[in-house]
Amino acid sequence: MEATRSRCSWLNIHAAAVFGFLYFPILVLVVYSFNGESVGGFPPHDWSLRWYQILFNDDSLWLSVRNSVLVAAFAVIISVFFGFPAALALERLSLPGKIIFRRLVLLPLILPGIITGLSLLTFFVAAGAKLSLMTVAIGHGTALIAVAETEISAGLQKLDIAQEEASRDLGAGEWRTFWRVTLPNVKLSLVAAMLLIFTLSLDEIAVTFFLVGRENTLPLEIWARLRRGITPEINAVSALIFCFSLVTIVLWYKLTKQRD
Amino acid sequence: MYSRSYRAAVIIPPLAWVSAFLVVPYVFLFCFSFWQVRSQTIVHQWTLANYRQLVENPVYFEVLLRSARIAASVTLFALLLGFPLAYFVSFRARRSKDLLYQLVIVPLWVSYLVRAYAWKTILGSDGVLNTILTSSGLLRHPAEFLLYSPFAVVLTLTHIYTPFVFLPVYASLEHIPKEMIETSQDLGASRARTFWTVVFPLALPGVIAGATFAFVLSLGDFLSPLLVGGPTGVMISNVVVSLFGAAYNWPLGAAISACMLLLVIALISGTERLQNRLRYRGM
Amino acid sequence: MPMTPSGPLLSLRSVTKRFGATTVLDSITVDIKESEFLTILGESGSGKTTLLRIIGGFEQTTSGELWMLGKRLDTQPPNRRNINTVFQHYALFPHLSVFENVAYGLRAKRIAGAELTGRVDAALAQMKLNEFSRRRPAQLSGGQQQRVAVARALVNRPSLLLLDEPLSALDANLRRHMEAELKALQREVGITFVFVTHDQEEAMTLSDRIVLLRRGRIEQIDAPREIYNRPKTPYVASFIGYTNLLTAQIKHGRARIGSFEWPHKSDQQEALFSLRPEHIQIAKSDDAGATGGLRCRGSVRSRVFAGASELLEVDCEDGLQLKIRVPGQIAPAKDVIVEIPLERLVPLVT
Repeated sequence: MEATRSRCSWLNIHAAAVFGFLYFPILVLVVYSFNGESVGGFPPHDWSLRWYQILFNDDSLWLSVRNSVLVAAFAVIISVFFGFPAALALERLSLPGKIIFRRLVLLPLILPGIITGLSLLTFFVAAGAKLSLMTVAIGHGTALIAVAETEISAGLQKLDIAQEEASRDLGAGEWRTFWRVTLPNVKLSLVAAMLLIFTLSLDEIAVTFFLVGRENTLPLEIWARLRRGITPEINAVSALIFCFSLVTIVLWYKLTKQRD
Repeated sequence: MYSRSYRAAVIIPPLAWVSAFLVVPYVFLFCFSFWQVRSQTIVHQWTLANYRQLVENPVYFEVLLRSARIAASVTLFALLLGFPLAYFVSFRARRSKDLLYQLVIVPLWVSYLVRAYAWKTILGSDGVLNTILTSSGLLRHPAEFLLYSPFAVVLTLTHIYTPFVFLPVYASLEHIPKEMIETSQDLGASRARTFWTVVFPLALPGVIAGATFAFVLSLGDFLSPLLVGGPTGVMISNVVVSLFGAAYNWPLGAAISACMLLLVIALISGTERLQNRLRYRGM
Repeated sequence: MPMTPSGPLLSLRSVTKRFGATTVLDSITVDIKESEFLTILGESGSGKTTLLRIIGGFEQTTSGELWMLGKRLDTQPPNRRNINTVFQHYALFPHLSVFENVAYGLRAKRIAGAELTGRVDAALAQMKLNEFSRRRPAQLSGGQQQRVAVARALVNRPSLLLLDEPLSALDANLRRHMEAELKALQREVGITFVFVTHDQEEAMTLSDRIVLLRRGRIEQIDAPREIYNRPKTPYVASFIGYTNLLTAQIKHGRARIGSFEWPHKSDQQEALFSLRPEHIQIAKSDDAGATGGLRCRGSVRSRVFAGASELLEVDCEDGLQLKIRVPGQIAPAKDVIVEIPLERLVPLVT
């Protein structure tokens, strides 16, 4: 279709540069995580696994990992438990105020985390609740209902409503239709949503910042150490977090592609 | 088609939870903004004093202005980086389109903290960038302004939010029917003309959405300023954080937050209306 | 209209297109003339849309060449060919007014000012769209949008206009109306229209010539009357209208079906014939008549009323089953005498 095509057009160069820009910092971190010396100089002179070894023996860090996983699991439960019916209501029912409700649910996605975090903080304080991992989980879960709703809505849209109507026509009630027709068809979206929510919760820091009690999640543990001074061990943690996120996001993407 | 019990089961739980943990907290935030602090305790006395303070004390407006400037810079750079990239992946990449898309969204989900911290190490006087600049002879001394400055904040936030801009722009580019591009060429338009008269106008809703994301999220950011901003890179959310922390004036902090909330909602509604006017049916 | 030198406007020479292992077009060779209304007719999968896209420049040939007025065409990108396309779903620019849509191609050629306005207004007038010139496409009906698409293409004065099933999105009555308009338009403008469709009635109504494609190969190229009355293959005979396909045995220069016999020269032992239902007569009485055709008795098995005509299924003696079309006002009895004019039996190539 194009009579001429230049390989090295500025668009190609620009794209390559942006990709470089996006990945350069992460690669630097990964490289530094193998740096034997504690600071300084580029490139590192001394390649070693020292920091990874220190990392694996760092108990308080692993404790925070455990906390993060707990919180993430709860967040998944909360957001799916409320996000699924929300998606069903928004996609299948005709209701007054649907638009407003959807806006409300999606609000935490676009608002800066500080607002979500602070509003929940004032709420918990006024209610007399103590800050803990539970409050963090509630915060994550509430904010991430939006993600559950979006993913499951997408799955519901792909499902031809005629199938549900046929099921009803053949005599099945709404619940049977839900179990036998709707749910199997949105399985992919459900799994994708859970994967994404889990990952987002693990990495979350802005909302967590205001809702955390005495026990830290992983990002907050890292944050606390950063405030005290740079420990290159953090490079190792970051490299690992990067790899983990990379795997989950690719998985999530493959799942959603399969659905579409 | 749906019975009342089904409707209730599907509507009530999410509505209840969202009301309890989303709406009510906003209400509380507003309530706090009308209260006061006396001798280290929060006093539930209703007053407009906090808002008055925001208006009268020029410091707050200055910080807001600087935050807006930083947010605007981030938005601009994120667009300059993100739009051509989205165009490249959507229109030029053929076999590798899928892979490239994944390559862009991966940084989006990799921990904010990791990425901000990475820039901290890169921009430091001992960091990668300075090492390259000094060892190659371009600079005699390491550049101090790289870290702990608004520059560092803008750089870090641009890095974080470029994928945020990419996503909606890419979506709107993909949405343009292939036939429209072919028609444009059929009618004799060059690639450049096709881009400016057909592609760009139709991608505008996506561009506006992406720009809104980037601006709003940058404006409310407090983590990057804390990591790489230094004293000159303080943004409005940092003021709020300190008011909820060491400076202990929750009501004042709540007032600023409430203003931010309203500002953000106004911005989002405005740009959304703009997007809708620019969106075309049958596309 | 200026007199042009004889010779085709557009020549396709052995155009072949493969997608991976699938051959979509196989060695298509056809000469398209000036000022003709040519229809490329075929089922889905016949390759007709691919052929159109190759002419328009949106697909490349795998092998073969296109020549237009003595110059090589397939090496040119779409914006350099003097050909314009009306797309199936019109592809009107939703963000531009009707005027700007039509003006688009002219602006691309850097035409402006009075000349631009003049040409656009003329094109709009030709398609009776002047009152809509300020509106956006979304505010127009399907038929109006289609006219805008045509105006947008024609204002550029192409030598050839390609139309990709432009009427398929319209309902039946509007379609008939637009068909007539398009035919009249082509006569008026005088350029070649290459029209793609799967609807054989449409093809018959509109075309000067029909190219019937089947699985990427040309079955027959002929004027509608010829294609209808003298189909070459069983596929063509069945595709266009209804027909009876009759297999006859050949012996000693005579063809025979059942008790019918007629002279037919062939080296084969079997031959296939096409017989159109409306060419078969129902005889009024039992007399032999002077028609010289073949006669037999039959009984009507079923009938379908279609307004102006009726389609009968008749079982004849010797097991011959025929579809016969009669005027709708006649109410034949169950037992009939069928008369087949010899000259209406068309031999087919298998």
